[in-house]
Amino acid sequence: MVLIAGESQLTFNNFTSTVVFEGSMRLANLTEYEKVSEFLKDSAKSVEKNLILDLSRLNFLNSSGITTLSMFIIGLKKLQVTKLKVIGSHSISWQEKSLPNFNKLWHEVEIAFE
Amino acid sequence: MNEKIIGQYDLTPENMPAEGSLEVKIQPIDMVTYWKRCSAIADFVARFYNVNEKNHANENLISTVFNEIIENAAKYSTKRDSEIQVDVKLYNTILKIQVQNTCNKFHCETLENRMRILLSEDTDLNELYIQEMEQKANGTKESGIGLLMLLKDFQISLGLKTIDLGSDLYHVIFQVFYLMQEEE
Repeated sequence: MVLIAGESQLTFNNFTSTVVFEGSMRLANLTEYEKVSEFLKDSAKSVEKNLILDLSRLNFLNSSGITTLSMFIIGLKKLQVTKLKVIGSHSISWQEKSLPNFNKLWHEVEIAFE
Repeated sequence: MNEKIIGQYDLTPENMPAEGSLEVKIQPIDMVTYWKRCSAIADFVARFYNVNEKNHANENLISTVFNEIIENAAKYSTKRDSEIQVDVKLYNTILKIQVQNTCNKFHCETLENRMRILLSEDTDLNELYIQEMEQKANGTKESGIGLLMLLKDFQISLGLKTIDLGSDLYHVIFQVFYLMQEEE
């Protein structure tokens, strides 16, 4: 399952239960991010228990994108069905600043840096 | 002429000589009709000020900070017959990003109020982030979190000056002072 969103690509791998983000995701507003939100919800429904969001190849994500991921995490927290791991990269600076915030929204989110 | 100043406006004095200076003028209508231009300018400014080809930490952060500021200016500027003026100056390890534009009273007051909340000593930015994200998830909050995110997670200071031009038109001068990360 693949989604092209602006200059970014999201790929869901059913065997590894992983959504891989690549490129630069800076869509204009939350309405434009709805397709990303739906893609993530569909991916979560496809896994049995654990979902991985691999952001380690996502060079940029704007605040509307951070908001979209945050709302997705809050949604998972409410359902308490899927466990979430987020993978970031030390070599992409914004990720070191912003990804730890996801753990503040839901303490069970695992954040790992490569 | 009614002027208001909020935050650390003119943290670096206007007459202080800069080590690098870049000026760009763009039209808001060009940005909103082709959104990718926000990102293109952010990446250009970041590359211009990244002097270390082996370390891209500052480049990634400058682009991220700049992109949020220019997206806001593009979204909330008056769209016709107006321009966004960007001035970027480097003072040793401080990068000053100044964005000037015009907007209506509603957007001007919304920005002023947002800045007062974000810069208040009583505001816990981490708590505010969690609170606003939960409100957004419940559909009860519409405004963005760009400035909150920058102030909370990036090493920046913010300053704002607004000038009432009359006829529901306001001149907004927004300043960001970014402390460059030390090169490894």
